[in-house]
Amino acid sequence: MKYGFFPGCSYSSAAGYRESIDAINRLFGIQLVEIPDWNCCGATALFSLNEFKALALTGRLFALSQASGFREIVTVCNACYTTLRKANQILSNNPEIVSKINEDLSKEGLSLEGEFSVRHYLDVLYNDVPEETWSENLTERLKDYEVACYYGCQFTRPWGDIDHMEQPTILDRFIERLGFLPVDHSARTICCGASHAISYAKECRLLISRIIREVRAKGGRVITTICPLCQFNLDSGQKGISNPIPVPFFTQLAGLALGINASELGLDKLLVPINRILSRKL
Amino acid sequence: MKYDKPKIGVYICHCGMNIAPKVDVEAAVEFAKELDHVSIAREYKFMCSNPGQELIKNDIKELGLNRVVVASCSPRMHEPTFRKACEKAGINPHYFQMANIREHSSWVTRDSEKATAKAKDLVAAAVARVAYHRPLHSREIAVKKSILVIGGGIAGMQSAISAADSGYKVYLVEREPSIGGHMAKFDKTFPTLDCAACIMTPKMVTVGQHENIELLTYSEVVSLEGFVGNFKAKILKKPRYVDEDKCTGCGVCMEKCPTKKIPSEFNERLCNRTAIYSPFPQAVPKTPVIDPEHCRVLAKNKRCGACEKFCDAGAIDFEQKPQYLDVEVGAVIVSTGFKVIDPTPLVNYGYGRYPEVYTSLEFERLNNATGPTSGKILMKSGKPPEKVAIIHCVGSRDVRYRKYCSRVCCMYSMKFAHLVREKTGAEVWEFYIDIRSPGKLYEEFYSRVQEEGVHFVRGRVAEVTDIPDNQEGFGRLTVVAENTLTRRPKRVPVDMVILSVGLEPAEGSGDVARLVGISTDGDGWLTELHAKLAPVSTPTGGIFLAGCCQGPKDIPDTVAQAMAAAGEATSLLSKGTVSTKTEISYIDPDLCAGCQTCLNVCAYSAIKFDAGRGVSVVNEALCHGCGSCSAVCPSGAAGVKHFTDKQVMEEMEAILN
Repeated sequence: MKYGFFPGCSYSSAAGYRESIDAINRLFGIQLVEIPDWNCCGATALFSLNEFKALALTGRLFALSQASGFREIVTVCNACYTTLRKANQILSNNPEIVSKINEDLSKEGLSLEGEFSVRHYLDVLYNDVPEETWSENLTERLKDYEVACYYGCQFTRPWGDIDHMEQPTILDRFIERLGFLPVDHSARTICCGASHAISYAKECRLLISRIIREVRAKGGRVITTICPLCQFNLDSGQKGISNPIPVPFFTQLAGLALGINASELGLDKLLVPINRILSRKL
Repeated sequence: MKYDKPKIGVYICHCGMNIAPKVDVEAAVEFAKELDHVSIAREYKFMCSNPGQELIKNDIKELGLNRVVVASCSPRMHEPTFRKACEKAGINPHYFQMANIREHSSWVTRDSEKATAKAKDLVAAAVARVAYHRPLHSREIAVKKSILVIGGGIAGMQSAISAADSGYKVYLVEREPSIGGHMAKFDKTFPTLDCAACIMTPKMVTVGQHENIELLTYSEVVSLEGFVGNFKAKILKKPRYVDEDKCTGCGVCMEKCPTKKIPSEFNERLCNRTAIYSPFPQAVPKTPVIDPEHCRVLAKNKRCGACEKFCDAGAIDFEQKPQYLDVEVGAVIVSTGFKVIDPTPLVNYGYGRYPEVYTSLEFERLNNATGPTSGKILMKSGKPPEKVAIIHCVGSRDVRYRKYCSRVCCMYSMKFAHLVREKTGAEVWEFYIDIRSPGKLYEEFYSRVQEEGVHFVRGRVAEVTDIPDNQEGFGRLTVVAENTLTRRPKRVPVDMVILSVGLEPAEGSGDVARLVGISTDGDGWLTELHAKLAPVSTPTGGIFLAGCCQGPKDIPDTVAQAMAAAGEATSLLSKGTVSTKTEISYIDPDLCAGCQTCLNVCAYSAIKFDAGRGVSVVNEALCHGCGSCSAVCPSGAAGVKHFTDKQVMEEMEAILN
């Protein structure tokens, strides 16, 4: 399993994400080949300010990926995922924009043509790694862990192809496959405040506490996320709350299920410590 | 009058401002004057008007015209008008040809010169064609003085009563065990708040007892053959396992049936029924049916027979088999109704996830005196709600589901609001996009409900969630929307949510359409002949529409349309005969090789093989003139009158020159 990889700005910076992703890749022999000289994806901000520049930025990523022989690009962040998918959709339907971008790219000796697919790392782990491979490698009995899956806003919306737009279940199914007990709750795709958590901290605290309260009310003891910004907001947003809920990445939970050492998974970097629960169970 | 040399009159219509400014009508007239065989060419503002028609008639009489071309609109509407004018002036109506320079030219061409050029081409083609027209004559065929009505809701019932009252035999076919349709499920009707049962039950009884109505419930039409005035229908009577002649409708069987936990379809699955059941207490006929999927005897081959043991009349008959009934009718009224949109795919409204989210039809039952709560508005906990939200336009006016407005939801939502206020005193919040209340006393009802203290929030609801915002929301549902008038988000905690779901065509209405040979539109509604001027007729002669099968409508409109359909059907049949079509196919017996290829392609079974003469013969009454036989005939024996090779080729030549 070999994929072009767009790390984006948060693969290395998010606490424990990189460590857990790398550990799983090592175990399963998944190769995420970093696109050389990659640049910022522009996130959601640039598209609203200057669509052409945003497309040029993402177009360059596709061209770089093409130059290194990859038509399939894997991302680990919901914002990268939706931004690249959006760009991919626009570019594949607008040859005139592509040719304009190619004029600029030619200065670097790059060009953009043909079809690409953009995939989330969860999609790879769930759909490309066979179910048997998982069951053969699971070492821990984790049935007593009630895990609430939190998808964030940009993984299924507006796409609705990999899973249901409003009520996705793929992460729940993945978590169940790992041996955890997914809990049903109503906060799967509600807003965490995203980057506004910095500029509108007070308002976003309300959004975050709504998610936390809902998970607690439905019996979740752990929240897992697939997006670095969701993880950061939910983890850091619980400051001052009594009995906070730990928010590990889905890759960290997968690592635990596979018997990888907690320290190798960067679990010690979580702001809300997971140790208390871990020490009781493991 | 001699017809050997064509003398053609050409009339070019301005159609008010529809054709004239775009097409240079004067130039077209001058052009037409120069065409072969044209004796006169004129222009007029409205050719379809009386003076326009008089123009044609006078010219025929005074100039001895024997062919007429009118260049105007689509022949769909006015070809019959002009043909009739020709006939009145003494020439065969088929010595007429229409050139469509409105839909085919002025309306669809930006450039005036191009539009004029195209109009000229079309006129030239019509002139070239009409010169080769032949006179055609139709025959009168006697009709059957009976009517088939498919669907026994309020539309079908009213059609049946109106037609039966005027002396026609009516076969009313309903697939459910009782007539009544959706209206039988309602408790009150807007805007007058009449009790639905009070106004409906007498009609159901009338249908059941009318000497001219043969009521066939628990039955389906399986095939329809023939043509206007002479249809043959095959009707399947599903086995009820109860003898209708012996059953007294006492209901003991239902009390004794041990299989009691089957969700009641009539009650929207909010409560249960038995395996032998009658959908509701006022059902017509009263004879119950045994549900073969759940009955211990029929489904599981067990020894039970409780109903049989307790039936004093000896009406239970487990050996009943499906029966087929053949009836002959002159006309068919389709009134297959609607179903409500299933809101399950709109997951953000939580239907199916949260027990206190109801569809409007479920709420109708909850509010109905014969429903699961005997008409008390109660939550599943048994308590009355203190706050209720009603969400409009669920599935309607939504590009992801149904684009159209379902027309009845605003009004029934306000009816609900009134009933909730009246029965429980609960606070009611209506979330709407626009309020649509166009109807007699409808707007007044809207005002009344507002005065009753119902809150109206303009904004499509984003979601219904069980995540509380505060203490007030605990254990409740929160409705999230943007109030687009105050431009503020709104989060309202409520106990009960009613989804005002839109309407869709009934299950199987497409099958019925195919069966009777009519078409459906993109949304599945049955298509009328003309949206404004022939709203209950269809392009297929003798087939009429009534009620919601044609599109969403409320009870007053449904009843009006049902009466109209009955009126159209009876006026068709009252004359006693219908004319055969003239533009139909013929098979030249001198050329026919008897290969019978045409028999296989004829969709109307209108061609029979005459073994004696060794040729295929067209039944003029059945033929629709589609031309399939003519296209496949290897020897060129089959052709369509008024669409002969010569006529079509001349028309094309003129366009291409």
